[in-house]
Amino acid sequence: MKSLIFPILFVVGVSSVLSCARTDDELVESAIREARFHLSSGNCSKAQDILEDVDPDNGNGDYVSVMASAIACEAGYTDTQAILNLQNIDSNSAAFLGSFAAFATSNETAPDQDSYSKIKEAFDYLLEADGGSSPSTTYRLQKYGTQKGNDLSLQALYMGTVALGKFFAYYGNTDAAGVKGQGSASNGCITNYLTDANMNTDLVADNGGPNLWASCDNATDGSTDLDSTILSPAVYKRRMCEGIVILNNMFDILSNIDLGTSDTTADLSDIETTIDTIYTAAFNLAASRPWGDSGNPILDLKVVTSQSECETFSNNELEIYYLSTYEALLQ
Amino acid sequence: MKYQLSLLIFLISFEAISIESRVLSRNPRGLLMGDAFTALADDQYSLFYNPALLARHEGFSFYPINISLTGMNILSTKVDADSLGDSEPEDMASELMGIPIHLGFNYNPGFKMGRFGLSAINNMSTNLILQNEVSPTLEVDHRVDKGFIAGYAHPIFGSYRSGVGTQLSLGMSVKYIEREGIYDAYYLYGTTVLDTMGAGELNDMLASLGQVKGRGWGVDLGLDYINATPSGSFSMGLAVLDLGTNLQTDKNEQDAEVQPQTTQINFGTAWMAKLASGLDFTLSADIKNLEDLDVEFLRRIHLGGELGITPALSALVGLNAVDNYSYGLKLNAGLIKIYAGFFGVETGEKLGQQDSERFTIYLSLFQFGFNP
Repeated sequence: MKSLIFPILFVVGVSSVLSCARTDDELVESAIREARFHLSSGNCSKAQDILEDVDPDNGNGDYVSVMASAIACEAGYTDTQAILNLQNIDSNSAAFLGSFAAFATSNETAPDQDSYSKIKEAFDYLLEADGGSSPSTTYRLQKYGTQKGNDLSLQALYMGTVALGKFFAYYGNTDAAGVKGQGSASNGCITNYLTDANMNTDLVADNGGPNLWASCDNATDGSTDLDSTILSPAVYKRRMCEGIVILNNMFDILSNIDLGTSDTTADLSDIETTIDTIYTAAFNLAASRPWGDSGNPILDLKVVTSQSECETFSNNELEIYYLSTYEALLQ
Repeated sequence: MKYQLSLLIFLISFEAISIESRVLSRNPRGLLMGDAFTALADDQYSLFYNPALLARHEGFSFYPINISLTGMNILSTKVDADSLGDSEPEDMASELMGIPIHLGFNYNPGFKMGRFGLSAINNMSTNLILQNEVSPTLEVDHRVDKGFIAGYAHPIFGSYRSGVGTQLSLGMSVKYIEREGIYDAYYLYGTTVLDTMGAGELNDMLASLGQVKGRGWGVDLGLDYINATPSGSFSMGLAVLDLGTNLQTDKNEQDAEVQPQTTQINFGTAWMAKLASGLDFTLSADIKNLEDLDVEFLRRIHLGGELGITPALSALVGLNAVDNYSYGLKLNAGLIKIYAGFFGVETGEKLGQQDSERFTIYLSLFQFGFNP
């Protein structure tokens, strides 16, 4: 036994001298890999706990990506379903928004459920993790590099498509085909238009063009969950701006990343073109109608990527945006 | 007793996390014995386990052809092999989520002359795993290593000759590695992967994923103790591998780094008994990764056994990290030696989270030696 003492002491000595604990960066990398493992089996809370147990590293694109996944996991969301949805998008501007509402994932039965709000939370996390003053794809690419910046932007884009589909389907009361006002609720419009009487006049008389607003034929036929007379001002503006900011960020992403050459991302290029067409049509419509004292807010609102900045716009400006953009194009 | 207790407390105090160790080459016999091989590698793989084992060698030995192949064991993995070739990422995501994919190839010709040894490094190892079903991410650890490793060992106590004696030896080796590798996590629905899947040729795909090159020198140190009699032997060894190995990455557009070859400290022991002519058995145990305070204790433990039925046939078994079993056979026909079997490797961040089931096939031809 005595002959073993020297080797054992040698092992302990060498190990003591050369062994060390992991650095903070190594612990973050380990947490990222372990969180991915838990997300492979749908263990959302475990993944979040592990990521929160290390020092949050929002400068690490992988950390941001996995944390966003862990949040969206709570909604039962997967990018794979979002990719499958993309194949059903109709890039014709008249049918574009309705095709989002017709996604299999556009199935909300109440506002602000986890199945929607956790996707929106993950979307916001992806967009705001870089610490910029407002979400910017250009800044994201600078912060995380081209590859990770592109990946984070695409991850947000996929989440955005699902969140937007849920938004239109619920507040627009669409049926399975994405047709507005044909769902199980009673509203024919997305929201109410109460800030200027001319809005109601135009809706009743269809002054924007033949059947322009489809089922929305008077200013008080909006969703009760997007009604400024029922909701607190904060909740009303938050919900109104969620619909605006998601689309704006999708456009910002599509306008600024390299979509590559694959068939999957080629579909996204069509979406960019269609959103641009929608903005132009909305601007022209708003410019032609006497809807309030705010002037034409489309140009200002279409570049707003920050939820908080959007909420600084007036109710009249938000209503003009909805009436000329979403109400006119979700049919 | 006091020293043993101290050692036990020291080892149990380690806990937490790790992933598969990045080793240069593995002996198939070792893999099939639970990779408990630090005190046993007195063959052509000495330089990859413990350079001090060179001190046991006498005469001249030449190992011209020794090829081993490792891969995922599709017999124990629920994967549709066709999905590996799917061009649609969403199909791949559903079929391959959480399944470790491995492919490895080693060719390490070399020789030993007295207590000096030299081996070539020609290794390829690819590990892929798709994780995170919310936003599927492909973790890639692919590397091709070329280079050489040369070492020398010297007895510092006792004498071991013709398989008998007691000896404590110290060994050291120097290695040069050129590594081409990809080591990153790729978002499956990001443009990098989507474009790579359409790249067609393998080289184009590797380039698209950002394969980088690096090179560098490293040093291994080892200590070996053996006490052998005609009826059996007891041995133990300590190896400090890749002490200060530093691979410098060539400049590249992605600013990526080749995988580091980090220091590993392994302790191993083995006991062999000869039962009759041609019949013997060996038991071995390793405690690995002593350098990393964050590796769980049970993950460090590797156990192996070999039953030599005849000089031409052996059965091998092993266990590592609690539940990773290995088993296989050795066929030795003089100038032809074959190993075949299955083994498991712990690949998750924490013990018990993820295992990779693999096979190994090894062929050695025209190995010979003489002792003038």
